[in-house]
Amino acid sequence: MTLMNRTSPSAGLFRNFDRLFEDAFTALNACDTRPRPEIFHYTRDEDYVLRVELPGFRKEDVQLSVEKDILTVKAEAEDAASVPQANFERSFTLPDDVEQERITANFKDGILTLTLPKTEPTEPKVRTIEIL
Amino acid sequence: MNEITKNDTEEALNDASKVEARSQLPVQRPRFKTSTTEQGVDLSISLPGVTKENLTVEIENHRLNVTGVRDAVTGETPTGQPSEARRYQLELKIHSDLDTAEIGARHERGVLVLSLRKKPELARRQIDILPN
Repeated sequence: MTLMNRTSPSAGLFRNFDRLFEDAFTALNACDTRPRPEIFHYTRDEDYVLRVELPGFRKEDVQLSVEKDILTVKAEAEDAASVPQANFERSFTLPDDVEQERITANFKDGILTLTLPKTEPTEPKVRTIEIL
Repeated sequence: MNEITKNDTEEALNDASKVEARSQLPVQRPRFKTSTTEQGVDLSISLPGVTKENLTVEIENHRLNVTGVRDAVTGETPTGQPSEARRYQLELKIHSDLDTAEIGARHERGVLVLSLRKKPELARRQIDILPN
């Protein structure tokens, strides 16, 4: 899966998802000792699935947005003490074959699940070029 | 006496294989936090993805044992990370000042909150000031 995760638009660093996941935990959040959410991602035949653990958050606390090919997940609890983990914001670079208009989200038992449908594969157009 | 049907046997075998599979799941200690209340202590345990049906809470001799199973998401292939299926297990010793006979429990948004009250004899009581 080519879902990429980036910490801030200005950083401009698109790295391997898992590597960046570790880096983000150790470096960027060093000042907040509360646990960070775990993230899982899957590839299926017809879509990608992204799952983020957000225990304690309410549906209303979570904002999702897509701008160009960047998906941003933001969770901000009104009462920060009521959730066991810190507020959360993370951006992901979407794979090229995601049909952005059909992305759906579901929030159940403290897990946010995003389903990102893949576009229909198109037959590559072959064109013969004549040698003059 | 009820007759055991083929379906019953298949169901029992499925249950047995499910129990066997679950016993093989990686065990993880869930994150938790405690907060003091007027009546005693609230214990909030993060169990994202665990449904109420897959959660057990036991108390024996002032030892609390919480187990929650999170099943793998079917039809999905993890990309670059271990499966999210796991067995959460937490064992804690409850302070002898707390009453284990009546424990309140609520499970919502992936968090189990156990409310433990102080023993009645230790609860705060008003002391009247006698007139001179």
